[in-house]
Amino acid sequence: MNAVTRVRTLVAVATLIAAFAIAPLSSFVTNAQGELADPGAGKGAPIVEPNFGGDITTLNPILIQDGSSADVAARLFPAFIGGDPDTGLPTPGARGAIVKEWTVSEDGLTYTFTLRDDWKWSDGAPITSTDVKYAYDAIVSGVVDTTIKSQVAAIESVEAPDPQTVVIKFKELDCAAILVASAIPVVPAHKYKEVYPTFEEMKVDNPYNLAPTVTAGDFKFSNFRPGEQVTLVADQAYVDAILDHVVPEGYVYKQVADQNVGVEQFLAGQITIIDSVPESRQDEMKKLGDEGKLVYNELPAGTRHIWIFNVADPTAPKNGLDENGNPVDQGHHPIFGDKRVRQAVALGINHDDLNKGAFNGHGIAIGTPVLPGTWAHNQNIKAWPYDPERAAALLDEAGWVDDDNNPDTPRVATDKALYAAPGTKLEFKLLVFSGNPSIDASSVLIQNQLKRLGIKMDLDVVEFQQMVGKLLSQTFDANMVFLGISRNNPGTSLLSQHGAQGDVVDSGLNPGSWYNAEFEEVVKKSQTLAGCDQAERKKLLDRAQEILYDEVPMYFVNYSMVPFVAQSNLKNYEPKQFGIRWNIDAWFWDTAQ
Amino acid sequence: MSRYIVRRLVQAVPIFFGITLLSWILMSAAGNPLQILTVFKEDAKPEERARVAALLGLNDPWPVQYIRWLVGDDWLRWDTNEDGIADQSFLVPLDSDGDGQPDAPGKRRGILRGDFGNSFALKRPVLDLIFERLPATLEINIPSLIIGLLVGVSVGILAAITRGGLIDNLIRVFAVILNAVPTFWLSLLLLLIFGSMLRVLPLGDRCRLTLEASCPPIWQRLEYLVLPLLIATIGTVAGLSRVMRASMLDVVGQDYIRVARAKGLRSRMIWLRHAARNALIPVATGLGPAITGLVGGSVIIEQIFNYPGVGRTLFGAAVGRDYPLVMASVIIAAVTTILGYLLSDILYAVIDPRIKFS
Repeated sequence: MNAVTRVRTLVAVATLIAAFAIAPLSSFVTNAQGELADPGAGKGAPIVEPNFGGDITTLNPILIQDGSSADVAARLFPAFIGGDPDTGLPTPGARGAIVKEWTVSEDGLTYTFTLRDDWKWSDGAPITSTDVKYAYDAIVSGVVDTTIKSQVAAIESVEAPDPQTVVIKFKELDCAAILVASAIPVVPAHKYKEVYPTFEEMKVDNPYNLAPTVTAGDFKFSNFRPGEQVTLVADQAYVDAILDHVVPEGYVYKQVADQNVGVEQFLAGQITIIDSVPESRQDEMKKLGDEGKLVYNELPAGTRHIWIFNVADPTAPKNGLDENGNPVDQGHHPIFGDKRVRQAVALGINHDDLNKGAFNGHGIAIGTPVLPGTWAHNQNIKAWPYDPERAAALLDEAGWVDDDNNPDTPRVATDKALYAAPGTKLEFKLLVFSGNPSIDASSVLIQNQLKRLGIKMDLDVVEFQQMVGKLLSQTFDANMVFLGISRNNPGTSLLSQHGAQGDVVDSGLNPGSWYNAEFEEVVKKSQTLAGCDQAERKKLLDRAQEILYDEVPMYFVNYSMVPFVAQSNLKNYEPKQFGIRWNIDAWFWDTAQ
Repeated sequence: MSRYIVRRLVQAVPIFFGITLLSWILMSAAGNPLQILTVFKEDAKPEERARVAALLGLNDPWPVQYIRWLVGDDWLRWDTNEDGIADQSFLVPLDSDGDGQPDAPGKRRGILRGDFGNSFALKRPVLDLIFERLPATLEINIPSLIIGLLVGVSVGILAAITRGGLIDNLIRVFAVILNAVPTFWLSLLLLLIFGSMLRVLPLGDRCRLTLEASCPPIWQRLEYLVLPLLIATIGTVAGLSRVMRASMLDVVGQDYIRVARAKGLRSRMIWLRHAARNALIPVATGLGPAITGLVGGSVIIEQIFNYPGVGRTLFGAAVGRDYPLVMASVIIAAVTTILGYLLSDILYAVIDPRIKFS
């Protein structure tokens, strides 16, 4: 083999080896065309996102309590523990996070996190365990106005034995421990000690909160124009940049008062991406996506449209637990105290008609509160079918009869009715809030559907604040509202929304006061299972969902897919189910302006 | 005149307190903001809500909350030994959030001492929030008032001069139409036509996207003001033109106008120099209240055109039960209305020398 041939062979082999090494990574980061657009560091136009909420209130992660501030802070600070954008599960060494790996003690109570040593703050100081411990100490100090304290209540202590190690000890075994730990933000302790000499001085009105100078995200803070926008500029020192530099020149979080105006600005090429298209424009956006004029994707909404039954005595609301944590007898609602009536209502609702008439065809019926596509969803549970004959039979069995064969009058209770006096009419009030077209339409449709069953439903339509007050006071009959659920940690949501701990008059998320001992047991067990085997936990949560389906304390009407759209010329854009912006540092587009 | 002004200002004090008290009662009756701030947030457990309620003083009876707002709370809960913990209280409990620890001493001075408090939602001083947004509101409202006055008065005079003719009829019809058309509908329509379809004007905002800390000077972004000003001015022009026309026609029927004609004065002199000045009196009386709108902002215009003004912020505050911001807007409206009507009365005397304040 002569010298030229030898060189050619070596080059070929080297190329082959490089291709094998790079291929897995490049398949993770390339765009749909398999290529990576790279105009150079800071050469991409600013990414512009609309903020349909209010102004940011603070960019101190410890103090954040609103979505707008959290959206911007996500661009400025790394996470403690990162997640896989495909699965949403905490992943060692995930991009955008400082934890490299962790180990768990045998008793499952102590987690030892090893931090990466390549992260630095924008002033050059390294990110170390001190930053994590400082944040935790501030949160639990009791003098800082933060809602994170309740999220980390399961933690007993956080220690930083060396700059690259964080040791977190939990009070008891908790299978969601990693998620609990991930709530701890990472802040520049050295800078915060200078700005807030004591924790008492960490107040939300400190000017530094709205002009942070020490950050470590893919962008850094530039300016805040109240009522207009928050402007960030690329931080080329970002350690996790996919292309080794941040492509967009900046990031603008722009306040837009009206969603329709936001959509028009997007169509005019002034906004890069909208992650919540109003329902009235969904079909239009989908059509434009099919025509290639924009990139259209959908994600399951985090909220569900639900119907809450008050199963307890509405005239005597009580907390679900006493001071010693024992269940308190709630009495029974005269109508909905009997689960057969609740099941009859579920069977009497025609979801297809509801979907067409109230949800523009976008509603997806569900039978369980845990959303499809998440690890804990029980795929065997389908939505309650529309079966008016079975519903009528259940009502008869429950002692509610049609005594006069008049379809315009409601059924009445006989002495077979469990909690209603004989002669009581099967009529109740549905509490709803005004101003939401889907709620307005669906409540009227359901009113007609239930009338055919001999159930008289009146509508108690009030302003949202008033609805909240009435709902939490637990003096209602039934209520229709939207409610969210954690996608990664559904057990916590199930307990707070369906457990006795959530039954707190004037504030709890279980205002219907439903209680089931087996449900409480299986959910709590799924949270504290020794070894935390995911498959075993799922079996327990599957059983919890079966109980909820059978007992129907809440009727889950539907959820919907939330569309999000991006400009068709946005390069390197590859949204994933648990992270639309996972690679925003590589996005690149041309603005219309 | 000065005695009259002083007397009117003194009379305004009880009016001011009456307005604020009534507003506070109505706000309290509609519900408390704690639920909006914390409900349906799973991480806001009952103890969190109690803490937030205590921080915001929402557990106190409404008279105490009103008094706190008026004169502060540094005299309601105070620290005598300077250890940072309140050890004395008056009218309120030392521990209002039920956590077993005394709450922090009060730090608020109340609006009568210049402290309007912090917004519940935005967590910043209310006056700061209002003053940040005031320039954007004034950018629209001052020019619209001036243009509306000039155009409305002129169009009204023209309609009166051409009474019964084609121009008069057209002006009257358009005035009615423009008065009747809902502002939000017209705003959206013009935005869609000129901003979205024709692309000759911007689709809202205050200026072109920039990474700078502020928008360019106003003369470099006049195209962003075209549509908001047009909408803001239309209502003023429509209303004023009708008032001015009616007033002119009333004046030209007076004896002194007949005398002026009989003396041979030119029509132009009669209409513009003699009739118009007297016809301006009703316009002047309406000018005072119009000034109230200068500062309050236009919610619809700012919402549709995405203009970062005071009106948009106050609308969000009303919906979100952000008491401090809402009550600040009540104060602003009350003060500007009182001053506006006083200004009307003064202008009345300036325009008509027959009027004297006794």
